[in-house]
Amino acid sequence: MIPIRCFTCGKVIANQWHEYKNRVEEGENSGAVLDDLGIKRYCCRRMFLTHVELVDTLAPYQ
Amino acid sequence: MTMKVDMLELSERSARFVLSNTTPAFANSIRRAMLADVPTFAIDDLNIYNNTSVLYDEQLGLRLALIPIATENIDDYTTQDECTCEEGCPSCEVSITLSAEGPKMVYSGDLISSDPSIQPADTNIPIIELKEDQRVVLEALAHKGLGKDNAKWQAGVACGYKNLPLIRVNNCDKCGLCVSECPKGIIYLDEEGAKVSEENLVDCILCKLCEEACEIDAISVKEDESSFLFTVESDGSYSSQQLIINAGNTIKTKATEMQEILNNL
Amino acid sequence: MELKILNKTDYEINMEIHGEDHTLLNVLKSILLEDSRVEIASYDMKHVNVSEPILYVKTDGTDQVTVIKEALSKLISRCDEFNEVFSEAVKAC
Repeated sequence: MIPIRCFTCGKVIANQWHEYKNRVEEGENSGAVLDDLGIKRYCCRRMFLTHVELVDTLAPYQ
Repeated sequence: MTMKVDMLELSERSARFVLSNTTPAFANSIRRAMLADVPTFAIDDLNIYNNTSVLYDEQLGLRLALIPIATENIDDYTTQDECTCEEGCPSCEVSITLSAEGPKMVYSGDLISSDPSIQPADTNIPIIELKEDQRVVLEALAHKGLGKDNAKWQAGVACGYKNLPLIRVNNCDKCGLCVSECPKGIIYLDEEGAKVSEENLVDCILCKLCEEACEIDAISVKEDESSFLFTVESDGSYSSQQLIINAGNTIKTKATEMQEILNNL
Repeated sequence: MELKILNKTDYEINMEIHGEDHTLLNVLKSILLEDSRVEIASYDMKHVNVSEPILYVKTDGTDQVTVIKEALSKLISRCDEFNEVFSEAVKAC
């Protein structure tokens, strides 16, 4: 799951993850989506850019 | 000289303003107070009755703790250290419950607080995704705390300031080298020589490339040691203007407390 | 907050201030240095986990506690001024 806050500055980012993921999967450029969502500092941008969603991979092993 | 504040931008969660006629020490204290000394509420204790989700109890607890909680009247509550009760009472803690069953995505809006004036600041923060037959039933206790004790209580997000520049141009020969060197594009040429536009002065990053580029030393860039451009963002537990006012009040409370102790010595 | 006076002479004072850090001490020190009766004002923090910060003030003979109390009053009035000026700027916005 996406961390609730950016590790470095503490900005709450989890609520914007769904929209980011949907728009990037539809083919938009990730940098443009981040600019549009208002995520300016690169500490917050790397949280989105480098997140790997493991919840679905782990779910069968419960 | 009295202080001056010029508001550049103000919205619910962020603010930009210029504070002038004050010392760097005072500006730094305001910045530190915004980040670490303004109290907020955050989930501190968990009683988990059922957790069959993908995340462990501790991972779930961490996610719950980092959710920002907004209070209308935080002064009505005390911190755990100062409270006279042994184990927790309505004046130092608030109970927040969560009960959900899959398949669904649990959001912070599903948290139910026992005090309606204390609610998560955002209702659309995803907490956990529950698949078929997975359940989460828990009771969380939220306490008041300071950002310097744990990052979950941090009210300000990336609050900082920079000095404004003092740019002077003398005997310019209008060669235009400084105009092309400036990475922020704040210098322009007119008949009298190079000029700095007033509205764009706050964009100056004090890189001094214009000084280096000028071959006749006509332009000089210095920091103004008593003017600061503040950028403040709040995580939702306070509005940005409330956060700044609380920062000033927190420093005042510390100074008042110290004065009282000295009076009683 | 707890205060402990470590030693005091006619000119100097060393005071331990528990539970405080740069947020209060740096601005207090800078206000003390604006006072002409204060010759030296500084604070020392070894490390937050290891020891408590110590405030050192040396005056020209004036009572140091009085000087510190006046500096605290100035700090309080500056915080009030900041709040007032900021609230007005918000209203004008």
